[in-house]
Amino acid sequence: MTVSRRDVLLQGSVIGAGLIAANTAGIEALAQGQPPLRQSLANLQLNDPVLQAWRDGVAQMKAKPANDPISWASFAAIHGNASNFNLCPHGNWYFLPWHRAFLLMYERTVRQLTRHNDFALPYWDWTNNRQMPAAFTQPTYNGAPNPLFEPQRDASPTDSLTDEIVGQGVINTILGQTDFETFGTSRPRRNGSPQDSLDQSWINCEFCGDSGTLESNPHNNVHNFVGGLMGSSQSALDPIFMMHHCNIDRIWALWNANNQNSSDPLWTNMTFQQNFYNPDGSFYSPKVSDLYSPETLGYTYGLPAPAGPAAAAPPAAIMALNDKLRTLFATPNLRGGAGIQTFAAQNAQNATATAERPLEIPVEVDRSLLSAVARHPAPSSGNELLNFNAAREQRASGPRALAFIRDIAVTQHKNTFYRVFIDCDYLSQATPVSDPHYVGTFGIFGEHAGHGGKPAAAPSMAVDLTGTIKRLYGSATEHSGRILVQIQPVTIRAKAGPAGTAAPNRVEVAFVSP
Amino acid sequence: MGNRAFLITGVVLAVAAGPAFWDTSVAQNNSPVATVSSPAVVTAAAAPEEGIVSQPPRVIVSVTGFRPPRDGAVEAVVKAQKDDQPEQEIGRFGIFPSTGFTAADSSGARRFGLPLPKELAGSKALKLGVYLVPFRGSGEGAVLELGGAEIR
Repeated sequence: MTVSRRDVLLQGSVIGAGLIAANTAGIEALAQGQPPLRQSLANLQLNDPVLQAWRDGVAQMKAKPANDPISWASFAAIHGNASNFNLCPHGNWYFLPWHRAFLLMYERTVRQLTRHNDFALPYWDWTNNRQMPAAFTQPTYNGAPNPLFEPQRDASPTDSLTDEIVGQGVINTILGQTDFETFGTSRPRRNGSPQDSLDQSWINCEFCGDSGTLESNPHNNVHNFVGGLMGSSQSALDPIFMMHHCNIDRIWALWNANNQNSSDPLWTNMTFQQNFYNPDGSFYSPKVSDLYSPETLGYTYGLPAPAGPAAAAPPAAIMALNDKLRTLFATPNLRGGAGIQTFAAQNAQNATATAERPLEIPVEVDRSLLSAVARHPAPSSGNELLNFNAAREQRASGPRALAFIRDIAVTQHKNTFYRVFIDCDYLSQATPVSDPHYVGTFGIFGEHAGHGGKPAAAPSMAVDLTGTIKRLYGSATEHSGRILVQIQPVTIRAKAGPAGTAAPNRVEVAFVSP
Repeated sequence: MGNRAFLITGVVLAVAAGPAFWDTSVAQNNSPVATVSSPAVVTAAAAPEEGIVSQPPRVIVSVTGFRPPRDGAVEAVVKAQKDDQPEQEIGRFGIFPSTGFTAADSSGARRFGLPLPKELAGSKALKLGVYLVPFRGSGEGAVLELGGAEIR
């Protein structure tokens, strides 16, 4: 099988977890270490870990002095200053790839600063959510200044974008373009002559091309709709900038599902030399052709594979892992198979996880298999060199441990995050997701109460324990033959009432060997 | 002079000249200047082929000057008319950043490409009306000056 972008689609606000029944492909992606999913802000509650990471990252960057290259002011100055744009191209066919790299710089920096390796920038889908996202409009959050709030904006929280600017008809027209330069702005011309070299001056030849459908309307007009800094060349000082451009970037990826980018070497071979920073402060200088695929850059929108020549078959290690995972997902209660061993524990007492008392289910496992996972060298995240394909193959080459939390009966699930930990002897609602015992968080969407005479749906979840096991036990000399799988419900909105409960029917831990 | 320097000069000139830089009283029929109360009207003719790329037919609108509104934000709505047929909208664009600029000639203009619908695709000439429409506030004070338009 090949791994498509659709395979990596995960549930809305889930980090490090995946819904089994409806989304086994997503779990495969999770187990393989596929890049984090960029999600719509509309899917995220104010205290969602993704939003919290963005809030924390922005706050940390804002606290740094402007002469620190990895600071809010320094990054924004790359885009523009009070009088003009700086390095960013507008009205120029480098508009889309340049801004993709610009966003990536923020995403990687926030991952590093917050130690939240699953972080991916959320996007503001203004077609479906016409008002400014709530996380950005309140001056305070939890009683402290909100780093995502920008006081100079002109748009009020109740102002709405119109159909003419962001409606589905506009998006359909944009996606209906088949030529890259009509869609994403044309090549620059200077003094009447088109670009004829890879000289860097062509990159920020502002407004030297014909603005395409995407840049002309939703891009420009959403900037101006928000107003204040967003309507100026200093727009990158407003934290909503990245969410707006993330949606522009998503539409480019969406367009790529059916259309090919320009193949002109003047476009594909241009390098943005020393335009961006790596998180360590060194320069990041990608070529346009390095920026085609979100997945190779460490994030995904969960979209279909791009048009064009068929993608190369995945490496053998990934194909082998996929086969084993397919077997595993297709066969609940599987005790073993080639390269697979599972260990199950029944929730015989029908114990329930509550906010005050997390559920703990001990699963007896083979000590040697646990040791193999713990002692296998931790693979690279891929962030260091932006080589995510190699990192993914490396991850697929090692032993993995997955937990399947099956047939979960829930209450008040619409107001609850369910956090999963292992072997944490001090677990409570206050235990942060940065705790080393943390595995992942899942949410349950939709109705699960069994309305209309239908039986209540009992979803199942899978979480990848591999990273947590390595973190906890990688340096241990001996390992126990037991994993304590824990579920801690946490309220999403305190005003909406207490957190709900969860009672799984059983928990399985599966070891998958290469 | 580089294009960037040229634009910076343009912005400075516009700011220095202030509200009198454009005489908005000329914004009337067949004027290349649009305000919220009066569209710019120009004729787009088919351009000679440059032989660079093969693209779907579109109109390129050149904007040589812009002054943002005193109040609110505006977008430009472009409507095309072929012969005596009714005007039809072919696209919209915004000026970003929303700051004033002026270009002394067409080489410094900002150009916006708008795909032509099938029924207008083969046209040799189209009458274009470019309307400034506020999407927040009154849009009063906004001025958009066209340097021309062509069909490619």
